[in-house]
Amino acid sequence: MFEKEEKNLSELKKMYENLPFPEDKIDEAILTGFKKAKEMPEVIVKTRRKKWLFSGLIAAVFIIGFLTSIRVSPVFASYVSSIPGMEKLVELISDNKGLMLAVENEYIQEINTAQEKNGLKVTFDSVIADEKGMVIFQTIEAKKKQEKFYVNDLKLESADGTELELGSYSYGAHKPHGELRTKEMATMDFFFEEPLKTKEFTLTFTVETNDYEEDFRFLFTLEKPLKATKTIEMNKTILIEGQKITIKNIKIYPLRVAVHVVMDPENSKKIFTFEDIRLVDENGEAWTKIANGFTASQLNDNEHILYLQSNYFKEPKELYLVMNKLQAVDQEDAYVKVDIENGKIINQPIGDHLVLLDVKNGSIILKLKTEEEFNYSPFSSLRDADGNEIELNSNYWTEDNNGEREIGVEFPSGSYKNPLELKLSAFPAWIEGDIKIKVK
Amino acid sequence: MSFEEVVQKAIRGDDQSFLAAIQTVKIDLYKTALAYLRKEEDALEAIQEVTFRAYKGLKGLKEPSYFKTWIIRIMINYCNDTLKKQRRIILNDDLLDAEGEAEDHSLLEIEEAMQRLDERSREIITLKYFHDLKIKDIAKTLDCPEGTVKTWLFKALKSLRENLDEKGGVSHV
Repeated sequence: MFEKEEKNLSELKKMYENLPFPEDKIDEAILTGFKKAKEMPEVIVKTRRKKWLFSGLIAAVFIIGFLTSIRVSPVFASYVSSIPGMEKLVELISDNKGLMLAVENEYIQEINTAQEKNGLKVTFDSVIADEKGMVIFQTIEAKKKQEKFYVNDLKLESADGTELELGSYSYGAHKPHGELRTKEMATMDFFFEEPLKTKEFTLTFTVETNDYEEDFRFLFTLEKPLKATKTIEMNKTILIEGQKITIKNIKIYPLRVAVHVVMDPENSKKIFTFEDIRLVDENGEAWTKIANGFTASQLNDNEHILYLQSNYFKEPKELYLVMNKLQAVDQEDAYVKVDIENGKIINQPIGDHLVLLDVKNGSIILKLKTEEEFNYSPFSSLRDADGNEIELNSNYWTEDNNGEREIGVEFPSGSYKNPLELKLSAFPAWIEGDIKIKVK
Repeated sequence: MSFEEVVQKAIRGDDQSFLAAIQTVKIDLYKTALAYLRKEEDALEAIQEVTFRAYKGLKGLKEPSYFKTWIIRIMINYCNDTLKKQRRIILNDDLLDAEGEAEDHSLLEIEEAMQRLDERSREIITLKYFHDLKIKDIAKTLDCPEGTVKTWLFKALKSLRENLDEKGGVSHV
């Protein structure tokens, strides 16, 4: 009864069969997709909270990005290729325009000292530092192929005993776990709450691989004068879907740009993440959020510092702060309530994105379903019904698998007043607007 | 080695077998992507992403003989997501631009009618008439009874006819 339609369809099919197809490009696309799949680890990140990881009440928002392509400017490429051993830097920082600019402007300091212990060698390649942060590049090499290269007990101290007000640190390797290799390149990021007062440091850590476990200790001195921070006072209030947000100031450091925002406590929505905040200059060039590493510090629920890639080494004539999309849920949904006795979710934001997979006294495992890509860790803390904070042993989330990922928190089992409340720090719900404010 | 055995090896983690299996369906994937997304570069990006998703999701493929239907469905899902995103961008952008862009393509009447189908109807028709897949295979990969697939197919063809008629009506004016 659908002869006509079927005939039409078969003609369409024939037409497509006769179209030329770019076989080489198809094969290339297949290989690229395959390589990306091979390189992406099964589990994105598992953070263990250590007492000194976050000082005070500041919670750090962390994101792990993956390299999709490497694009470098000719200036960058020629500078890097003029120094032996620097090519690998390209791979490590190609997702951060600010770091690339720092290298291009020769603001990176080569250290290039190595230590070898029982067949395990660590090379401290180079460092970029500014008044409030430091990025260290290093290479670990083993005699035999290893599957894991872990850096544990990472510690940065001043050589003269001056207290470093460490705000956050992270260790990141760009090669995924699980692949057998003899070499690992990595970056260590440190950010401080107070400007650095000292130039000499000791860096200690333990490298743990399948066959080795060795302690390392490096002494190093910052030789380049630290570039002064540029601060721009803003104090401008914007409105997105009825939510009031004040941009207090913008601080431009060589390593990153920090945008200090304050949300009105009377807002009907709780705002988590500013997804697409960026600085745009008069030519339309944009400096977006940090793609890999710390993206924000939350001083408290309503006061965040957002980190963007730095344009420190550029002198734009005009500069605008642009944002369109923010993660936000209704204030009353800011906590996910889980009845751990009956294994039920009592409250969650609209949309039933969360499903309980397993719950016991000591762990809660949920599935988060989304339609769009969502690579955020949704929970920041846990408390019981009496409001007592429960220290988390670990907080993990897995990679996106067809719009679903597993999220879990582990905590010491104990007698807690049911239900438990997981505080949200990210969620797949958004408010949108079209904000563009002049910075200069 | 039969194709099923190749897929079976791929599921067990053999990368060469995975690439071999993809080779056998790459033209089907490309044509599906082109039919949905229209542009060669978008189709190539789709192939890259579908290869990625297929590799990551291979363990979820229960029956090796349904590999082709399974991977074409991944492609169709990807294309639908991409179209949704494009639509959203167009809505946020200048509407005039969007109209201008839409007029750039000269579409066959049947293609236009396909584009106006709902996602499921378009998927069923693509699987059945574009890739000559059997109702039984489609039912197995969609995890539903064959009768349901037949009902969907009937509805899909019916809306396709309506879309074609509507188009005819408009052109008479």
